[in-house]
Amino acid sequence: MKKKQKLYTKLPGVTHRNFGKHTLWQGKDHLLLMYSNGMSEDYKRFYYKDILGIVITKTRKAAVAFSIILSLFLITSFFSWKIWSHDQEPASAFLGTIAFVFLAFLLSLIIKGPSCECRIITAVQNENLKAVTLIRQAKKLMAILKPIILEAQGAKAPVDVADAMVSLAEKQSVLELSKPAHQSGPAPGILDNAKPRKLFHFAMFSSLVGYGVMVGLSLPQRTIVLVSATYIFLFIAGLSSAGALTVHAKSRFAPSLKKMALAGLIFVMIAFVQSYGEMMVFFVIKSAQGKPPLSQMDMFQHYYSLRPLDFSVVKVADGLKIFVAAVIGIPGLFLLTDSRK
Amino acid sequence: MNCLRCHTPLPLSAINTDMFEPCPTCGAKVRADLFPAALSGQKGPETGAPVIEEGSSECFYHPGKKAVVHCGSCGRFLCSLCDVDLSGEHICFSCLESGKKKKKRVDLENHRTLYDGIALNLALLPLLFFWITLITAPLALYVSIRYYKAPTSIIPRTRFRFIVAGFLSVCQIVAWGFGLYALAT
Repeated sequence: MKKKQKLYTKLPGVTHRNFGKHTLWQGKDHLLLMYSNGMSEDYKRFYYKDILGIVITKTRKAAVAFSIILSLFLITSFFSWKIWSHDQEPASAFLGTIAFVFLAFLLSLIIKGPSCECRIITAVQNENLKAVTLIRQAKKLMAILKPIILEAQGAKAPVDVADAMVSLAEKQSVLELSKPAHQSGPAPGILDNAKPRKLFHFAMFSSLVGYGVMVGLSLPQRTIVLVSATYIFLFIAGLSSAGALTVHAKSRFAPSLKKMALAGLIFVMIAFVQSYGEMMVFFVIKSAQGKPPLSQMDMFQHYYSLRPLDFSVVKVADGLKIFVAAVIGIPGLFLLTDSRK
Repeated sequence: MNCLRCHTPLPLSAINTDMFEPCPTCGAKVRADLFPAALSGQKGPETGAPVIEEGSSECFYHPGKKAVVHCGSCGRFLCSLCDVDLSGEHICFSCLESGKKKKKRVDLENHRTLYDGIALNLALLPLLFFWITLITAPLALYVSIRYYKAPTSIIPRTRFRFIVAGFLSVCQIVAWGFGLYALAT
């Protein structure tokens, strides 16, 4: 009996997304990118002879996921330990189990390693190879794919390509020199390639972390100093996030950093509204209780002399503020330091 | 070639190094591989050479243009404009179109329905709400039998799912039969 010919061989890289998975397959003369959801499959083919280039860029997805899950793990394990000390074993065990799940996620992220984006370029395509999301997979893929593509395109070794690129660079430099001086700069409307200034981002993320710390410190008892410091940090975070969003339009920034800055601004606005709302609620309650009408100063006094742990609503709101400030601030600072390396 | 994070063109010194180099603009680690096809330049569209000698073969679709190859599927003579090189095989546009429509050519397909997956899902997922299996079990059995010989995935895959789906659906139908019989008696 004639054995069925094997058309495709599996290549490294698999990503589960939208109830399906993206995989890569090596064909006789093409690379097959497949999306399968179990009931149907979609294919994209890239013929080896048409592939002009492959670009792989390290992304921060894994780092951001790691810092978020680490924050969640620390929070759940802290509360689990805290509840344990209050002799509430079942609740502590439940939180401990959740912390253990987060720990398992953390370990899997450590094993998987850094994330990446991989794009394949042909004359008419610039396609994201969604199956490849890890640096480890990308390295393996390139080790297999590069010799095949080179062979399909005339068995040229990479050295030949490098030589051609040197001559191309020489040609380019000759062209650049022959250009008039007014044409050598970036074209109008093109963003400059200078390293973007990240002072606003640094101020925003660090002030968010500072804000979270101040809110945390004022949980047992608010004082005028702590409340003032909280508002100063929030004010700086608001201004710097607005500044960060303004400089985004003038320079090149990573999309993740832009999203973080936007999230920071939204959070600051919500925190302001929530704090003001809290003040107003106390003002209304106290006005209803107090016989003489209360002044604005009384409202502030009530606000900063509060013990948030005594009020469940305030406790939850402050806890959420600490959590969100940490989730935006810490990964943000991490991203900044990571991109400076 | 641009950095995928900041979309700035990469310097030539960062290309084909087989290593992750930092992007000069955003500092992201980038590996860029450029292949000979990128350096050979783009070919312009073929127009087909005119027939020079009297009596020499000409293109079936373009009378007056010199035939350079014949269609591997229908045998018609083709000029360089009409020739489609598909995995080393030369075919004409009409054969390409009919091959795509009739799904004769695997390398032209960009979508496939996996009937084995549908049958298995029909047999398995409704088990969460058992009463639905009264409808889905016969359906799963029908799909398993009707499409048993239909092509499955383009990649290596057995028909094991069809067998499992058929077995499960038969079990469900038998269970329903017993249940209904017990209720009736």
